[in-house]
Amino acid sequence: MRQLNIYLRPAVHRVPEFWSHDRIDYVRRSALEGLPPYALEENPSKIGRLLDRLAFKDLRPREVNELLKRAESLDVDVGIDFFGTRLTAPIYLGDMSFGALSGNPNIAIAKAATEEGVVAGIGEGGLHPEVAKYKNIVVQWASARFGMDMALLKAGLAVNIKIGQGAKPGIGGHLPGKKVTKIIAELRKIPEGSEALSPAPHHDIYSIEDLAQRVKALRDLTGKPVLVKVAAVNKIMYVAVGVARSTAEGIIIDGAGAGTGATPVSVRNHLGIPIDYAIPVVDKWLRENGVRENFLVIGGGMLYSASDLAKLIALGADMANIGTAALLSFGCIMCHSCHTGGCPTSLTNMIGARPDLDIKWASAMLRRYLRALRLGLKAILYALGMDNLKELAGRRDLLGLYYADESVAATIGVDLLAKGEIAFYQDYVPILPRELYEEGKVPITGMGGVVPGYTYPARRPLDLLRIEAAQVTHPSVDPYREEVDVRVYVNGFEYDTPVVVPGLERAAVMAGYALGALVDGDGCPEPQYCLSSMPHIRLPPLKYIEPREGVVVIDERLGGDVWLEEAVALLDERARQAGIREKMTIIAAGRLFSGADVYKLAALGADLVEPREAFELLSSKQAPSYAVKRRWYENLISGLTKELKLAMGAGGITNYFHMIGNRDLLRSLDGRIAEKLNVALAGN
Amino acid sequence: MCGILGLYSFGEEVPVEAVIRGLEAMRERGTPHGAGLALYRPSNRPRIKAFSREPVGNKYIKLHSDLYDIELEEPVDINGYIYLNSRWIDVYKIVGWPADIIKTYGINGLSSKVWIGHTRYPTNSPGRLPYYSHPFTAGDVAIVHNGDLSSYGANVNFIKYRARVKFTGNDSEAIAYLLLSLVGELGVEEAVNELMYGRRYRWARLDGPYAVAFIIGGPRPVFGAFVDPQHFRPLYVGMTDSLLVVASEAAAIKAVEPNAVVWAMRGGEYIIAEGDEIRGNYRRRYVYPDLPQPPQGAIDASRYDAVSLAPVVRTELAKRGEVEVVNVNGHRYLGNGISSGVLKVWGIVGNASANVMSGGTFLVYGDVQDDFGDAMNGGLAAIYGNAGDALGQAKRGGEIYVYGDVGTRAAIQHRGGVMVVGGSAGKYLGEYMGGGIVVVLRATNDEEVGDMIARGMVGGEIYIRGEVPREYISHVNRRALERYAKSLLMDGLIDGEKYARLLEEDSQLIVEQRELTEEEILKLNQYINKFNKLFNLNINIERDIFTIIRPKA
Repeated sequence: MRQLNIYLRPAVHRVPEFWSHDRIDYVRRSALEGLPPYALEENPSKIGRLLDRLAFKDLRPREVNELLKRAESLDVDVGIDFFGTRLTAPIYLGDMSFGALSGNPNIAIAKAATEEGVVAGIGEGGLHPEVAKYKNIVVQWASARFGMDMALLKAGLAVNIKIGQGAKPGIGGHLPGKKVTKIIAELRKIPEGSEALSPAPHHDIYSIEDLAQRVKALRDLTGKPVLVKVAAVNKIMYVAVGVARSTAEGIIIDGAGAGTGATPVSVRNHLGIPIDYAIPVVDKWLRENGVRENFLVIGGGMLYSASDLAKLIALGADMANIGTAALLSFGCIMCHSCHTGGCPTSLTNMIGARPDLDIKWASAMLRRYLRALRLGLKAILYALGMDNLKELAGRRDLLGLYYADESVAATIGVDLLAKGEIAFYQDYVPILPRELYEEGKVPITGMGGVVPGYTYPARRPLDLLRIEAAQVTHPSVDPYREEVDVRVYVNGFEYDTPVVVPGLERAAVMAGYALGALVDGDGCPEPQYCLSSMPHIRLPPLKYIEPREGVVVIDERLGGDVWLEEAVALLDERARQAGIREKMTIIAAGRLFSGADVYKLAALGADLVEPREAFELLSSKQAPSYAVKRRWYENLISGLTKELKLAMGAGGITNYFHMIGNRDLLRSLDGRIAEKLNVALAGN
Repeated sequence: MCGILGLYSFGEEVPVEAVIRGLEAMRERGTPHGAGLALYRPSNRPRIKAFSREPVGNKYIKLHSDLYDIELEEPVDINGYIYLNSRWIDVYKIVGWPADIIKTYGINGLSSKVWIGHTRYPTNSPGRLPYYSHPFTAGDVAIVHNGDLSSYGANVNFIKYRARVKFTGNDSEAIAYLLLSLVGELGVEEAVNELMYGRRYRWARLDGPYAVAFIIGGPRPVFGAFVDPQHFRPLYVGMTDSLLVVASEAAAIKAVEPNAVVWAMRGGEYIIAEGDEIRGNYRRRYVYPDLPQPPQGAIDASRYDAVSLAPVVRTELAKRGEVEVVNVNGHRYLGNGISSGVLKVWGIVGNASANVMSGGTFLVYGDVQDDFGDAMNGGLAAIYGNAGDALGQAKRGGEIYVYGDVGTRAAIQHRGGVMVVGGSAGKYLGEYMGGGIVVVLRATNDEEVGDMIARGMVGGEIYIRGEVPREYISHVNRRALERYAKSLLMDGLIDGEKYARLLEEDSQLIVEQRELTEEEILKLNQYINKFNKLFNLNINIERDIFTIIRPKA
């Protein structure tokens, strides 16, 4: 059978995202030539990651890039000791399981890692016999225990307890039955064709002391070092200090925007914080608590270049976790269809017959890419006048931050060299996914790279807010199988969802009524379901709104002098000060689109939220009949409610009505927005 | 975070040393980053204590890191934090292990009838300052907490506009203030209910994991403890005629009072002691068979700490093929990874034992704590007592027999082999279950199985003796269903017949309530017979109604 061993054209994205053609080209050129196109960027960027806005103060990129040609001969050691195994570069190829990937890529990664002298995490899903042949692997103990036995635990250089990942913090896994083929079933030790569910938390780890128990149990059982992999959640510093105290030998922190085989879009885009906010803060907290020494910190999530590696280590990491970029080196075109089973480059788990990936080609490409990263890193270190990596670790003083606000610079502990703002805006009309309104399913996607306002344009300040997810310190809750209550009460009357439905047409009104939602309109079979039947006032988002008892609708269609999110936050706070918050209902209506938007407005202080944009997009779609149109509206309401529940469950929140106004659940990537909305900055 | 302990004596005062003994038995739950005690200790004037950067007045102790523990005559502004202001309660808290409290404050022999204590594993605030150590007080309320609240921000909102509070930022502190505020308005019992379920007030409900013990000061002190409805944190109760003890581990209760009758609380249960009375929604669960005497020459577990016994047992088992251990009290990881041989232990087996077990026989004469039999592939384990939470998690093969009760999430992700429970089970039995057989006999304890049964079940079979209420298996919101059906009828999208059918429940599971078929009896009896033989019982499954649950596909 033909084997896949060529690069296809990268996918084109309607709205720009992190994995641009330029970045994919960087990886591909590195993989083709074994040398990176450049070691350092010419100038810091005005938009994008903090890593893109950071520069080594004393280096001239052009001079460093000149060094690349003779990088191999530079007397600089960029290797690192990995529990007794010397690695040639500080790179961990992170945790892509057999099941997420299609087998040959797993083998190619293990092979390249071992031959090139880095290390690869094999993910959850059992030990593939061909992967088992390679020495530089790290096995995983995950919540589902797939394929777990002593043979698996004894393999590799270390054991990794997987708590979470950047692309879906606090969310469980689900491999549909049709993807559980014979070999996958054998390795995971589950029946062929059965649904493979991974619970969101480990049900023996609901707290740090429980984690310590598991760390020690695995050490007792295997005699090997134990790593803990977590998503970079809002309160990552507490998690990291807890992990260090658990006696684990290291932590793998996976930032927002990291890749994955499948994740709910609204979760991927809005939960957790980027790695460049997390690492410096974690490093600082670990040092202050006296637990940084002999504790390995691996950071990942949207990393791809030698410059990324050097900056991340200077920010405080010991190693970099590279996943997506490894796939890019042997063919990924970033088409976000991993979850469909139709990967055009034969990388992710496939349904039906397709050509297999050529292992020899893929591992050779990956080896050259790894080599390019190593040489780029050598050039940077040499230019800094350093002999080895240790000298670079945690040297935040060598970096300067451009085009950010002071609070971000202070948080990451880097000098601010040019003022600016993190948030970047661009207007676009989102696409209402078919599976959402036709099937009522939460939209799923593959791969990462989308962090609104940061690597992807924001449309409003709300987009810069990050939602809290639970890792280790408390358990996540699986809303599909466990209790997450989203009922709300207005004047004592109970609604089944906080999603308010705009009464755009009869089908919408009836769908809202059918699902127990409040309808912003009239014509409800029972009047309590229609806003028109209850006394309320409707105001534009204003900086000053007098708190008053009863129902207040803040509707951004009416204009106003501030953003809707700001008006809601201000009114909630003012109403609490006046002591009447319990007697009022705040409804936020505006250009909102997802369950994550609903969550954020609720945490800022809205009791109910009317995501008008989602409903307006649906109302403009032609349906074959009234019945179908009505079902579409029902699906949209239930889909948005599921997205909300997923976000709540991820943070271990089980009751919506009691979480309203809990701003502690949010963090802002941008300092000015943090101040305006009275939300803490990410990393604090 | 952490390990908690609380006790209430109906008779003699209990010395501080006994409380510390209990806390030290949970060393694996703590760190040297915080410990503390609160006790009932009436005084004729308020006791005001604070941590301060400077010494104030003449009653103070210098702590490490340039901090002073000071006692004030009256509340004044200081460069620090007042952690106690009550004439009924006294508090001692430090950065260190529990045993260090006695040393730091020289309180040897201090006695009281009511105590709470804490050993800390810091989660959300630094472990460098005693500010953040438990107990936390608000007025005459003192609490210790194991857990991490996801509702903290909302709870602070509730408190902030009702009382002037200087928060340290530790989530547990909020519980003390909430309790103080709610007890004043509702009384103790309703206040506890409000914290767990939030029926009257918004933002007072606690979310996330918590197990809490508290003291409310006054001429007649009130003692209590409660655990979150999901049972995310463990809480055990122990009783004698004159003593009530609660703790995060059964082993801690035994360390305080070896003769106590000990059992696990289920999620959402609380227990309150006041005067000569105990009240609450808790249930007493205490079932044991007759146990054989341990042989001479068995390994004495009391010579080992909680984690160092396991490797000794493993080595001995490999050498001798049969090993006996006595005086086990919370020792962890026992029998992990074993593939052959016979292991017999007497006492309370600690968390995460019999993990990745693939063969051999493991007999426990006593209870096992949480996560026993995780990722078990084969072999046989029999527990002559009760089991904690997540028994047989992701178990793929082998047999587990339990004489008494099992806790929350028993047989979660159970994929193969069999589990037979003589008593009852907590919430979430068989969650994500993918295969194998689970039988709950309700013979040694005829208590209802907790609800949320078989959530996300995709394979296997569950047999529960008796008729389990349908809403325990799949909860249907009748109000929502009826409204939905009505709306379809109104739009002419269904007819009357369809309407009626819609109101019948739709579930991913097949649930039957009936006597077992011959085939089923034949299949189950091989295990029931073994169960009877192991525990010397005579349970017959042939004539009883069972609730049988399996997935549709």
